[in-house]
Amino acid sequence: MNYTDAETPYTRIIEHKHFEFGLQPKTVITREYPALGTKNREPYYPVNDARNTKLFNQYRELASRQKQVIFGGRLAEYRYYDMHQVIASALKRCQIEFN
Amino acid sequence: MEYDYLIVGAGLFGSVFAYEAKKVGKRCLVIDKRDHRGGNVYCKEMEGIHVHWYGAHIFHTNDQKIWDYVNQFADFNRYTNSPLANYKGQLFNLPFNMNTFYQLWGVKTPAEAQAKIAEQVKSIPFSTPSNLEEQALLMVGPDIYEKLVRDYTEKQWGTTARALPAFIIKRLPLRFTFDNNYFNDQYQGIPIGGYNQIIDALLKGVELRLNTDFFSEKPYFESIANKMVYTGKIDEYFNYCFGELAYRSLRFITSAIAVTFPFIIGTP
Repeated sequence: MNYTDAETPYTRIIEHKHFEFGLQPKTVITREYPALGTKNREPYYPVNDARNTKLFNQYRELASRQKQVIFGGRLAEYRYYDMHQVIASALKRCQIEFN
Repeated sequence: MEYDYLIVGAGLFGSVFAYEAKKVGKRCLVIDKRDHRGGNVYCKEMEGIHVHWYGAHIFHTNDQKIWDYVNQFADFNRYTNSPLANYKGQLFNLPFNMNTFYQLWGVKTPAEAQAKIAEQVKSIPFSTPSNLEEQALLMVGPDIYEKLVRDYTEKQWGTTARALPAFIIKRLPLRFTFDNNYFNDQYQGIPIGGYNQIIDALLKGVELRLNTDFFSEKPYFESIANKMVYTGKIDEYFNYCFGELAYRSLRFITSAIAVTFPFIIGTP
């Protein structure tokens, strides 16, 4: 359930049992509160605006010179990947690496 | 060298890489600074429920190869993401579809809904958007924008929609059928038993060290493998030499509740 008004401080509540159609006697819910990404918070969503894209391209240029390191996944590629996209990206990388 | 690959991060990318590497006989070490494997798909078991510890993860894809790939490691149920919006206690179906339009305006046919939206958009006195608010108004008009877009977006970004750039909302798809399925993909579901079993199957037979921070022992880790797969923040890898990349974050507050009737919200 998304809370789309300003009065509710969280953006969403999820009730986890429904993901697997559970009928357990108790329930577990999670409220999601938005937060700004600072160094001590978990980084979830990259902000792909002009400033950060430029910054990322500078890092990517450095990364491309590290021949012994493969940079992959949401944080190393600075891309909002869904799960299927991360898996596709990893498999593609493996094909290059192992063939 | 002790290992062919050091893999930094036991999330999906690192775990898939480890699995494929092992298949071709490569020796891998996977490390992760957290106390669990799986990255953000990790599920924590509470009250017999698989709690999506880093937020809802609903698997969906149009790619049959990827669908077949994940189905090797778990059976998936037929879960369909059909979220609801709660605006000041009023409920609306998402994504924007005929159900939503009926709830907003009482319109019952696609033609009535299209006419209503055209009338809404026509009331907007400008044609070139210079910020997110203007962009959204031009796409869906004031009613949808005010009830379902504005406050939610402002909460997410911690600033006003007028201060946000238009590019954040590239499109706001409108669906003129009574269909609440959020995703358009052919395949969708949740692994029965949670995501951890997929990670465990991928990492089976691969050495894994948890609670292990790459940066605290960087020279050591760089000395034990021929190559590295790094899945952490790219700016941190380079010691933030050009500055910090921006992220949006979330705070999760999870509570277990004893209920007599088994549902509190009734929807994920």
